[in-house]
Amino acid sequence: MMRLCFLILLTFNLIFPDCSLAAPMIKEGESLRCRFTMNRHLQGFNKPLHSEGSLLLIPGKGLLWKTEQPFSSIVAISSSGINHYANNDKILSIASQQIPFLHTLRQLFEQALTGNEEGLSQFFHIHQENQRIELRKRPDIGISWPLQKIIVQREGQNWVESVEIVKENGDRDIIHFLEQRLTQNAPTAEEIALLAGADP
Amino acid sequence: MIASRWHVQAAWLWLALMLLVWGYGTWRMVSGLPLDSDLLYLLPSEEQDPQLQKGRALLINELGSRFTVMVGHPEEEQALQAAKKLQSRLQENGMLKPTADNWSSKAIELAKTFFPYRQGLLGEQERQMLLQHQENKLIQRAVGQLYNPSAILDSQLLLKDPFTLFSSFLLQLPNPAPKLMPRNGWLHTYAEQKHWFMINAQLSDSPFSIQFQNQFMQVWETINKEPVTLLRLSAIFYAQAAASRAMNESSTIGTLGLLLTILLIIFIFRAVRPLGLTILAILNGLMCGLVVSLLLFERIHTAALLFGSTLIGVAVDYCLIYFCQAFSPQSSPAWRLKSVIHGIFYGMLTTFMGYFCLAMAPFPGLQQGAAISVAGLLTSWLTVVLWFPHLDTLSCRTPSPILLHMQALLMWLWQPAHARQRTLFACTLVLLSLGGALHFEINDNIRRYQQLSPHLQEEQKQIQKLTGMADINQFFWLQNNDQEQLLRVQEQLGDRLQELRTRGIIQDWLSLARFTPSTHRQQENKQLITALYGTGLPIIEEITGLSLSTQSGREDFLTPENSGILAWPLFTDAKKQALFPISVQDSTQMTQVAEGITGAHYVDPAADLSTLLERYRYRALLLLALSVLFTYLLLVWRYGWKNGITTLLPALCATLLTPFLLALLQVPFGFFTAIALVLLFAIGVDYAIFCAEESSPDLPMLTGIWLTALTSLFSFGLLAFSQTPAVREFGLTVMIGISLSMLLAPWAMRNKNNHA
Repeated sequence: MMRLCFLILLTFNLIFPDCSLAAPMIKEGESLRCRFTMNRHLQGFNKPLHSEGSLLLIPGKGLLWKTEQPFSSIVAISSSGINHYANNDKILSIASQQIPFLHTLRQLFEQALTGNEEGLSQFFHIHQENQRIELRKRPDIGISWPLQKIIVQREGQNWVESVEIVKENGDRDIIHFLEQRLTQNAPTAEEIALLAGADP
Repeated sequence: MIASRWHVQAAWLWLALMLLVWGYGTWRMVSGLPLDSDLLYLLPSEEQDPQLQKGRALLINELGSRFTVMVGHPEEEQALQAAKKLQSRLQENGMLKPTADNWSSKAIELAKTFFPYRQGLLGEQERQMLLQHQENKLIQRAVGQLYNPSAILDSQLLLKDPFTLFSSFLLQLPNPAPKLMPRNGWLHTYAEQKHWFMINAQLSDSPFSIQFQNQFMQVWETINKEPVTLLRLSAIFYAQAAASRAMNESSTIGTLGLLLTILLIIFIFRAVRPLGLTILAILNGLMCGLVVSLLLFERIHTAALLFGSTLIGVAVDYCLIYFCQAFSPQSSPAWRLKSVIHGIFYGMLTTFMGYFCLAMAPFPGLQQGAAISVAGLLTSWLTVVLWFPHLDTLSCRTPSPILLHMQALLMWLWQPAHARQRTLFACTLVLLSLGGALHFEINDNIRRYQQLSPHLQEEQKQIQKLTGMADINQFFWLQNNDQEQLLRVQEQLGDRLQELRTRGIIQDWLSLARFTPSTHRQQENKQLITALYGTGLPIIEEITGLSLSTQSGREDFLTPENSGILAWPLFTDAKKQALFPISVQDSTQMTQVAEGITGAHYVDPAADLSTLLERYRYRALLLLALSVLFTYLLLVWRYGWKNGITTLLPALCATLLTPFLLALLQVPFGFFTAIALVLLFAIGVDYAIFCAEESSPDLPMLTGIWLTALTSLFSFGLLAFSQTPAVREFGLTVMIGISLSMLLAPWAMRNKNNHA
């Protein structure tokens, strides 16, 4: 669950290079498409779980995380909840009502989107050094939260090169973003349906 | 008559008795009356299953005792401290029961306790998939989770629960307030630029106890609530607001009615003594009614007290009829009593018999009301008969021109020359009633009588918006002393409710078995999970290249006791024996869910109260029918067959026509109309008897009828202007009915003239 929240956060960072403090760069009607590689390092296992795919972020609508290798699946995250698709089938559906934390985080990110620094700083100590931004969990947030920190590596002024999510038990996800582009092309009907949580 | 020795002795004896009554009554009032406003107390005692009734009442009381307050402030610390302070002040003063002190740690503790038993725990979705042999979906999901950026799965969980069945089980647990999450040991949300902390507790006493309401509000008012915002959701605030409104209203209407009555009596008699003695008779009646009910009943319902006291008001008629004899030229106290003794005796007797029948009904509210009114009425009557001749010093009065006009007006319709006008009047009444019959509607729905404070309703809506809290107003009450069987019944009901959830009839349901399934179900789940591991793990290993040596949990099963769930407010006391559907859209479909399941009963308190009112209405109408019968028998005994019925007819016609005339005003027929008809008939019969006792249109008697009708209209008719629907309907019924009874009463006199 924590990964989900920080994924959303970091995805916003893809387009908000000055962490959450700048005005949004995605204009209305635009969406972000890119490719990714993810290496998941699990404690106690020798080799990381490697995956590749693409993602689509539509502000106000949600995020589609399409894993292509080694296992084809799509995760759709929207205000209504999380839906996981594989083999043309919905294999998991969690309504946002079942995840109160998602609701809170969404409120937080909405504040971040509007340039409200307090939003993020309620949860993290934010430290920025050149192209590297580190968000370290605040100890006093009053929530049991297995995350330790998030490290964002920027590329130039506008894009995020990679994100590293470090959990308290030592598990790490390292995600690299490639071929990032903002597009005005409308999402496909299928993509919209997936974000709406429709059955395939 | 008054010189007779026995009469003097009886008056002294009555004084001694009344002193005792007043002494005892005053002592009880000073000690605090055991008043109650809980409608459940009015439930009929003839229910077939007392255990079920007790259990349902217990749970309804528990639900009614919920106390929820959201404390909001832009600064988190301020909101938290204010919530803590408010809760501790209410607890210190004994207003709230102690509650779970730390939601965060409790939630984590619960998950930690449950986790070792995970092999018996399955969410509804996963269980259905496995029962339908859709293991593939779960295997795909497990693999997907490994590459899913939003997955819950980590290295530790992967070895203990690779299919994330346990976390899925937790996610599917019903959540009555989904937008809240534990924070600093409290349930919290952030919205509308404010941090909100929830106080969720149980009141320490019934919110319908007037005494507790007063205590609570005293404490509540003294707590400084600045600078936070408070949103309230509890029956005690609604009950207190309703009681406060009713008291304001009754004080306005009551004061106005009383003032008009006082002015009228002083204006008519131009003396204070008739007023003083009338008040004395009424007060004696009220006190005796109260004392008798205190001796007979442990608690007194406020509705019964109000109903009983209202009926004692009939006694004012005896007083006024007595004093109106002062307009007779040959008037002395003894003569006055002699002139009216038959009329007020039969008037009292008919009412007494009617209410005595009421006391026989197995309805606590009616029994109490009947006891109060019967005792009160008899006391007032005895006060008139035994004391008035000794205390009355009123000299003969000359009727004022206005009284002569009033007499002429009342008799106008009944003059022999006005037969056509009488026919026209009768036809008009019949036509209006027929018109009303077309709109006649019976409606006992309790919601029609509810007038909830709009301000509190708005706060409730805000709380629901902030927390996602859904309505839990109905439940299934499960009678089963064996815990395993109880859980299995809950699961059986849950299996049926799944379909209703899919169809959107309910949002979800809450039951102990959702958290700690029966051992039987856990055994089934364990078999399903073991089979899944056997099939699925090799596939996951093949795709990921990981070698998974999973760790199993405990071999035994989770129980409500070893889970610690019983310490949660969700399942304290009677709640573990119930199943709560959340956000029921169609209650009628719910009744079928429990069909065929032994010991399961669907309870919809609002619908039950409507049914209760319906049953009370039937009883009230039955009482009315019995009153009519007994009154008729008495009138036959007094006036003969033919004149008996014509003496009965004025009150009977007024009673029968009033509901249809009310229908013309779009007022449906319900319990409060029915009970007003009982009062109406009692008063109407009195008027007719007073007339029937006279051989010719007599000024004192007609003045008495005018006067008593006007005082009744001032006392009860003014209630038609109440904002409370039940009171308004009662007042309208009496207003229309009394007017009709008064107009029709001389009908009885005309027949007396024909009496042999």
